[in-house]
Amino acid sequence: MRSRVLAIAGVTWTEAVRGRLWLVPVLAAAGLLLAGPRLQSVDDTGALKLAVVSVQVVIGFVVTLFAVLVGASQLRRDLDGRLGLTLFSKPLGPGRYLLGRWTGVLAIMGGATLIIALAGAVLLAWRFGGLPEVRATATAVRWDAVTAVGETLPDRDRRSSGMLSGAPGDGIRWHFSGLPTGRDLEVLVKVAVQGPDPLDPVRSCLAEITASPTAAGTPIVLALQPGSPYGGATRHRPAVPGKVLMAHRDAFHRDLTNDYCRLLLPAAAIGADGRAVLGLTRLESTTSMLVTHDAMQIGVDGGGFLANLLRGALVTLASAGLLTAWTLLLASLANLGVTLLGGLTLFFAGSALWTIQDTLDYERPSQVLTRLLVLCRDAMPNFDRFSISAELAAGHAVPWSVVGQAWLYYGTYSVIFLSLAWFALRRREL
Amino acid sequence: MSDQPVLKTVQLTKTYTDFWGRARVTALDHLDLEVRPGEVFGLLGPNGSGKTTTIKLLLGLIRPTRGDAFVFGQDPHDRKVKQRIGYLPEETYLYKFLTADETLTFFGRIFKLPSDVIRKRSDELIALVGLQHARRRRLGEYSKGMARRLGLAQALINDPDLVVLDEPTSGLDPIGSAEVKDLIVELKRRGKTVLLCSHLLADVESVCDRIAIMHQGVLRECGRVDDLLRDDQRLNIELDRPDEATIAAVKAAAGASLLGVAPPRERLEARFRRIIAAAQPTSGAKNPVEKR
Repeated sequence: MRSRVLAIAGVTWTEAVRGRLWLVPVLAAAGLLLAGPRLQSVDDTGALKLAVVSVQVVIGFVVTLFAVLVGASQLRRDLDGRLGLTLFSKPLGPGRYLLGRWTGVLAIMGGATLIIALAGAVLLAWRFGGLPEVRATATAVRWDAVTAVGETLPDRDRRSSGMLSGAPGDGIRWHFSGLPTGRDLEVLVKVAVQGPDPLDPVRSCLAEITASPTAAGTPIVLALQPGSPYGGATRHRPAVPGKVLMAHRDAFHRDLTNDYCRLLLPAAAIGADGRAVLGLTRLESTTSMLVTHDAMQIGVDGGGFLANLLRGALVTLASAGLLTAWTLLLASLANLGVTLLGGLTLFFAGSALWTIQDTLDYERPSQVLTRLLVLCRDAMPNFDRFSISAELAAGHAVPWSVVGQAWLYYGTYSVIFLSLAWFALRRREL
Repeated sequence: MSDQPVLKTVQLTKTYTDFWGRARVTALDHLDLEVRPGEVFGLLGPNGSGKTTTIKLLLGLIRPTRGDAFVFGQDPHDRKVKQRIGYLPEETYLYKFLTADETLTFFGRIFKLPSDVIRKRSDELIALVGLQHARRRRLGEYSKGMARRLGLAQALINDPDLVVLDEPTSGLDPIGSAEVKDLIVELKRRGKTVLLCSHLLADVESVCDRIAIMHQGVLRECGRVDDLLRDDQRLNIELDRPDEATIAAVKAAAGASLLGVAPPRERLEARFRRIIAAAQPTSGAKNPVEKR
């Protein structure tokens, strides 16, 4: 089976190369390198984010273009140009043919991704003097609230957020496990701070961050990392030794390098079993804190930027594979015009499922329309399910688990579409 | 050799329908046919007589409306059956961006042939169809005749037991046509079964053992070429350099039944081949420049 699939994939690749399709990613990469230095933002951090997003957007654009155009046009040419007569008179079934075309297109998209990703890495290294930092993070397995009098209130309701207000001294304890031992790590923490006057622009709260291997252990007060974007003195308040001045950071602040207060977690604060308990204690009564379950995270090595960019590209490839399978299905049934229209329609609809959700939430449509919209929302593939460019721009690593989830999610659709295409092609008379 | 027919159709009928499933045209109507092993069988008929439809049904490319088709006693859709068939379609449909070598390698891989076998057969077939000078050129640069030759080579890459040739001489010059006919004879000599589909009657007559004549999807006549063309009412007498007296004697003996006396005519194809062969600088060399 493999040999026939690879033969078709090989012919798909050869046609793309000899049809000078490689010019598309090369020109896109050149465009990126030319336009990249001109990307402007309010500061260098913004410009870096913009550049990272641009690289991902260019990869996404080229890959989507290939996904919609390449496989479907080749399949239509085989059927309309009657090459199918020669092909299918051989021991080549429609299943292997489709799988070969799909694999070939995926290989083409992989090659294009590699070219653009390398150009992107060159751009970032050239413009910003190095590749951006990428962090993987560990979140707590559970958390407890601690009252001002020291009483621990376990989170039995598995809440995602909690409010600290009133008398100072209350806080949260996060329980971590599975941490790497024997070396120092980095703690990343952010909270939403609400001052007494909602219009007061100065919203910060003094807090203490501690860590210990167990809940009963002696807590170690954590010190700020030298590169922490905030936590020490501000224009309005001096630094307090051993304490952290938590600035207001809400859900929109996701950049691990620039939006989180960063503290050193010494190896001594991590148990031999990889467990650690981290505590945040609010030290002021004038402000309240809205703390989420993932407000406290521990940064672990996320690997190099290029490796993460390529893993992100694998996620993009998974969604492009879905689109390829969809257009192969359409091409098995209809002409090239309908196929291209259908391919783009699914892509745009699947990229805007949030609008369906908004309609359901705010527009109060009729019952019939509601059912239809719910069906669309639930059945249609969501191309924004894994927002890789936003994650990478925020310095988040793209772990293999996300790549696996993406391939499982988009792969399921691909299998369904390819199966339907196989059925259509099998029924088709040449 | 097994007596089992290589090809067999039983009441094979194909009706093409429109989008709504309504019958549009019956391309093939209750065809009963048998082709035996080692036979060169000709399928004759004017355009639209159902020849290509018959071939498509036998190759499993379309499904019959009624009746059955068997190839090597099996369903034509069976992959093992297709492994033993070589097919040259009516027009040469190949990838224009591949070279001759790559085309044969591609089809060899579709047949899952080992690489060394593919290489060996490619060399043999490219030499056989006379494309050595153009084996590394892309098909997009080929003339129609060259593409046809390569089409023939791809049909033989798997050393098939059954070769189905749909208008194999279409687009070929007289020399190419004659070579194809020689090739068919060679295939027969090697025990292969050949199904030849053509409306060039002279081609079919010269190479086929049996023929079937079809018209409007119906089998009109089927049998051995010699039997079908034999005219028991007439007799040809050939004499070697007769003198006037001998001719007069024959005329006198034949009397009123004599239809004509004339020297035999050489066939144009034989004459053409002889002239071209004499003009070739070295025997067997192909002209590398072909008209597009």
